[in-house]
Amino acid sequence: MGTRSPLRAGLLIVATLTASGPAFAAPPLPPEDPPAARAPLAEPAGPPDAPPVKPPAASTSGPKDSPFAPPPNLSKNPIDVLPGDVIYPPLGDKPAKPVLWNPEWPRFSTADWIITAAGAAITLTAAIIPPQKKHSLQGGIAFDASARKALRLPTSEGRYAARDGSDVILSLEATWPFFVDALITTWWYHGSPDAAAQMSLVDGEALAIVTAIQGATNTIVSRERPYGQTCGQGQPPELPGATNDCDGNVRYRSFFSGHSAFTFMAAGLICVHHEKLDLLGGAGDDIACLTAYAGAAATATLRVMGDMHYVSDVAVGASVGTLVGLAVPLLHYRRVNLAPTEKKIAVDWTVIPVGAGLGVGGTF
Amino acid sequence: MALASATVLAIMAQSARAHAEGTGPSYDTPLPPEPPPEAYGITTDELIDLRMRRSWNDGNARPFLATTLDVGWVYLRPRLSVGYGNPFKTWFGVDVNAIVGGAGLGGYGGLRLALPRFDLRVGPRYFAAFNRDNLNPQKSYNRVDLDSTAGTPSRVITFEAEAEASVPLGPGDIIGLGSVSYVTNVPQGQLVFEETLRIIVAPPLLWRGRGGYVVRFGSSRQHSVGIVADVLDVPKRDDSLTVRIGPVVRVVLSRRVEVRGSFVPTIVSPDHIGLIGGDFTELGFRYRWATE
Repeated sequence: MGTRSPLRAGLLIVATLTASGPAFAAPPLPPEDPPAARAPLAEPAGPPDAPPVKPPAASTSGPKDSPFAPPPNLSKNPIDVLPGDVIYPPLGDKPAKPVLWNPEWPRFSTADWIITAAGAAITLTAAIIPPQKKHSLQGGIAFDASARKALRLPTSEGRYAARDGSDVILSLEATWPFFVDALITTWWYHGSPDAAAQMSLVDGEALAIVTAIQGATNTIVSRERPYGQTCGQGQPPELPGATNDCDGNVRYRSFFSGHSAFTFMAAGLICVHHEKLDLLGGAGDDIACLTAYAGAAATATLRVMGDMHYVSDVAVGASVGTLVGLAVPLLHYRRVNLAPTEKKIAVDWTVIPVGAGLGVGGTF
Repeated sequence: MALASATVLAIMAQSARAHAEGTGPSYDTPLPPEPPPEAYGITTDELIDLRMRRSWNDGNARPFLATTLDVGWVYLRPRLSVGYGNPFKTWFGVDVNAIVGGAGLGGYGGLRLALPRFDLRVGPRYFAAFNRDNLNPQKSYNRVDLDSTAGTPSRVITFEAEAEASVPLGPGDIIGLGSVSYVTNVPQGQLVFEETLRIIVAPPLLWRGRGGYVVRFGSSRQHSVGIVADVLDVPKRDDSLTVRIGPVVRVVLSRRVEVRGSFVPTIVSPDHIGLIGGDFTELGFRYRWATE
């Protein structure tokens, strides 16, 4: 290695000293009650009882392509994660490889918090304000009409089923980066709360940006949904005028598709997190990425089949979602120069009183 | 910069270990010696705060305050429980929860008794729908009927009693649930969509039964996955039997954190309202907290 990071040097020293302190091993656990005897009472589907506690796993590897040795995994202690919580160990005897947030990657900052809060505020405002009375975009453009003719399902029941299908995929895919990738896979399975927190915050920022852009755009553009052409038309009307779809604000929120934007954003987040952090390892990460994009594509198609959007709506939604879903995490996974003194050759040691012992930090 | 980082990390490491050992930060005024963990009625474990109970079952029965927060796409259900016993496990007291979702706003408050493998709750629930109206009588309803804005907005009060029980069998549990609901605040002669039970009701009565089997797995058999079937009937509606079947899953990550999912669509119903008539959580996050 050509140059050595001072941060790395400091971390290595600290790791060595803290590892030589008092033993940090869990005592043998008392024998567990038989699960049937301890099964949850009020909540039949609940956990039987307290989890056995696993000893902290040693950090064995860093993130993909990292030139750094891993820092000590200080967050292994459950009390550092959620005060007062006790974590159940994942399945299997062998602890999973920790997922580490590379020290060269920028952490979620004040600027990120401001962006996220601003996005949330714009989203809320756009949800409250009804779409503009003047419609900037009306009817189909380019090949919208022919695509609608080809894809729109013939029956009302079929179109509602398509809408339901898109809702199910959206709810799964939009929550997946938070609940499955960050919470279950990273925090719990890999025992890496710090990386999980960074992932969740990045996901939240991307979500806030997309919802803000989408909410503001559809309020301003105020494009009528394709089904709007059928409101109160025909005898009997295909869609009565006195319905939420026809009466409500939702009728003029066609451009652009939120379902498409959110699912493509989620697909981008899933792909980047999996590829950068090796969450599943090997082909598992590629499969997760491909499945996420397949789900997003299915959602977009179902929105057109359900007559909720034109193809141009879902195309723009998919583009915005993809752009934000890839750009936001990639900006956080880029390497930044954290050490302006990196080229110095001087050696500098300092002894620091730390708790009951001494710590040594240094740069070289 | 590097040194500062190293220092902070070193302090964090020592602090975490000291805290884990129950001694607290020792770089300040020495603390008096901790009582033995048994004094708190808990088991010894160096990895956690000794004053903390490792399980909601640990410790003696006591008055407590507990919260449960369910979050998903897109709903928020915060619940507050005040009672006596072991929170979330064996207790009696009062449950209060708000219902916040895309369909409307509401709340529930009632009494709760939780015993080994048995749970009983009784109380009223109020729900004000954003976009649903009371319905004129029909033999069957579809989504357009449900979406109608021609009526008056529904503001439903449901009095409900629900009992839940489980029996261990093989690698899992047989689960059962029964409830009776009394739906009110609906104009005479009209029907209403009950948002929590996801069914169109001719007031006042409605009953529901759920049976199923969940397999347990995990280091403490804390996770579960299984299949459940719901049967619902509204006595004042002809041919109103509704049947739903689908999977439920629960991944318990810690004493406080869970990820839950359910997808129980309707397979038999007099109505054609699609997934709105099903019982879905899809993916949801649950966080629980209680006074120790």
